Amino acid sequence: MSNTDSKIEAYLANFRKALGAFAYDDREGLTSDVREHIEEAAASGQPVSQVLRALGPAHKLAKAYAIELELSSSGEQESGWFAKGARIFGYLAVGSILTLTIGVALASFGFALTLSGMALLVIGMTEAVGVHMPGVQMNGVAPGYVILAAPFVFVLGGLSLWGLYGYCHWLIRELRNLIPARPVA
Amino acid sequence: MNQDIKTETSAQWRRGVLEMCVLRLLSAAPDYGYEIVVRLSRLGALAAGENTVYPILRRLKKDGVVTTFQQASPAGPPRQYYKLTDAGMDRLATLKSEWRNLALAVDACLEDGDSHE
Repeated sequence: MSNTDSKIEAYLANFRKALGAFAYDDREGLTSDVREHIEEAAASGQPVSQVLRALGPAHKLAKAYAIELELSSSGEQESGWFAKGARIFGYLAVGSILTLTIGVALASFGFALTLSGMALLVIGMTEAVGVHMPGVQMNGVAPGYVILAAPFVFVLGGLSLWGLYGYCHWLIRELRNLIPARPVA
Repeated sequence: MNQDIKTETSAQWRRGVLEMCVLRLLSAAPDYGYEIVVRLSRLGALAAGENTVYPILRRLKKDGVVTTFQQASPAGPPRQYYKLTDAGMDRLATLKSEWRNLALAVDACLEDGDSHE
């Protein structure tokens, strides 16, 4: 990383830190706006140090956003915290049953089907070459059909695991949005 | 001291009309943040710091008077363009009307004051 890049990253890190009262998505969005501005200004030929000087200290820029978006009032912060606490409680109380159901279902289907898909492929191939594995009963099903079915079963399992990943990702993002890191200085 | 007051007063005036000017610029065509800052800086007295324009753009987006979309840049990462919504057009029309009434009233007040000097 060059000296210029490290200056930009340090500025953005301070800015992101000073945006503590904002939700996670807002912090990332605002930081992305400022990064885009710095890159555009630098691409137009302005020295990075001059661009950063024009933006002003990171904490003041964060405060300007907070004032503009009406986040600076301490009263609102307190009521915001109370409301957020209530929302988190609600999410956990209602969401836990939903999360338990969805998580268990998707994980069970996902692991069972992906492993079954792999097992079907191995069994089908070994049967096709005439090797009979102990304990395996084909019940007259041709090995070719078993080999053909294997990818579908595997993909179904993969989709379940992908769904589980997406659900967990969404849940974590929602919780991050509910919990601000710290108030703006 | 007087210079400080003058600067602060000018900054407050500018801040008050900046939202209307940003909406006016965007009413012609969608634009991205850096270009909006540059276009305002070319207007002399309306030149506002980046630390004023970007928070205003964010608030306008939050208020639903502008929307954003990504568009490829000739060089570098994609740019975020700001576009006026129908609500934005309405707000611009309201602000323009209020500004013209205010400007007329202020001019009348100043002329009245001049005639007494």
